[in-house]
Amino acid sequence: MKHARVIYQGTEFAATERDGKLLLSDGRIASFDDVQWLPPFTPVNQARTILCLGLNYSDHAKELAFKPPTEPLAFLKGQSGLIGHRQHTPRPAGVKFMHYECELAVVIGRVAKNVRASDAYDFIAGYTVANDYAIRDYLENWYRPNLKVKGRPACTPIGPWLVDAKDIADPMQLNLQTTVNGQVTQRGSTRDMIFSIPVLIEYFTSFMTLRPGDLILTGTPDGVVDCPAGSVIECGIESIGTLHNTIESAA
Amino acid sequence: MKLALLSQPLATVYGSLMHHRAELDALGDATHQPPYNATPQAPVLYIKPTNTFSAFDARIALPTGHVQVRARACLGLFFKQKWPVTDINAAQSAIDLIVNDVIAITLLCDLTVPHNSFHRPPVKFNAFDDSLGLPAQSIDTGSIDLGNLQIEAWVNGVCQHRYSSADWLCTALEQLQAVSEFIAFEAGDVLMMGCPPDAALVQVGDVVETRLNGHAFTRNQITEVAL
Repeated sequence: MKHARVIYQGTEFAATERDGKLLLSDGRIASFDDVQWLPPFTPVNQARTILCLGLNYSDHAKELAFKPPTEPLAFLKGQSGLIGHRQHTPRPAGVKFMHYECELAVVIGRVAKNVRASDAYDFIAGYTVANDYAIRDYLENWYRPNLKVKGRPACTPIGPWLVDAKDIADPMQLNLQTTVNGQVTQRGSTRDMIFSIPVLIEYFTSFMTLRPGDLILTGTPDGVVDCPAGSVIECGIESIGTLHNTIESAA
Repeated sequence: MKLALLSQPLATVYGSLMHHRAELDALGDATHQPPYNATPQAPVLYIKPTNTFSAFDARIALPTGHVQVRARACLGLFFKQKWPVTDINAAQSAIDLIVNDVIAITLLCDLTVPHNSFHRPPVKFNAFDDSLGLPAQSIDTGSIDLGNLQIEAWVNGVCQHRYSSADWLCTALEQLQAVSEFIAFEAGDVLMMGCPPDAALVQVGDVVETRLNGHAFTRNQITEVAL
């Protein structure tokens, strides 16, 4: 099943996809155009932990002139980055290189500590699509990628759907694609991840406890380009969904 | 100095790297060599996620494979309400409001596995379970001088580390302003300031307490490696 969270007529609802429309939790049907899309997660009591991967596709590592890492290159970001489907992301004034990163996002479903890779899929609630924007002008070599590049408000669109894990037979065999104003600029497959989803879950839970609702953004393949204000970016992952976002000039 | 209980749970805790003068001094010329190639231009931050939160008097297990960790007493600016600061003017407003219920001052105990490279985010070294001792209280007034605080870490009743906020590279409010250019703070978020690199090493059995101007804010006992 595909789950969403939306604002419809001023009220927030959980919803599921039905025949190309939204079935709201109160039984009403709404069209995709009649709602404001939120990140597709049930609210949690504690702040959500958002783990992100850098250089987790061999072609992207090559593109950026890095040799593939021998250990996951992970960084964290705060929740204020998350926005929903069909929202806008600000491009700061004077910036020369701001690019999308289409990523498969894993949503944790059970408390997870010291999980073996062979059991890891049991701890996943589902999957969604994230666009982990980077503003490379701000890149520095301290705790790289530094938060000025990756931790910015409204720079991590996510959604539109949370797709139940049981509905995805093999998350390591999904095609990804990004378009900018309708032109394909990025293509890849999750099979090319350097560290697979089960390996990442084993790695992270070897030192940290993950809780339901925590996120792992698994990295992006080759093919990132600058996106000027006005660009419409669509990040799609097979069987998961297509996430729309528009770049706007920061005030 | 007036102390008050923290009004709400913590959300996202951000820490500042290379904010205390001694952090850069310890690296010397290395800051201009690869992999860094230059001193930091913008604030460098790290995040302590919620799995690191360890309450006052809670026990903290060492991470697997390590016999000691560094106990860094870090001053924190605690956001009592959402403050979506997205530009310098808004940041200045937050600073002006510091005595008006937006921000409280507190002290945290940031445990980290000693590491010498600051090139990549040290998630494994500073986001391990229970690695942030949380304060039971905060200071709710502008009556203290943020530029002249005595910050200490005490281990088993003995002061093992002491520094002054006068030795930060920029003041707490300047750091807040610079960070606010790219981080939007939410209710419960904390921005921690820098700490010298020679903070005390603690091991199994040690009780570590952080103190600000003589008042204890956090207390935790280090226990055996987690199984």
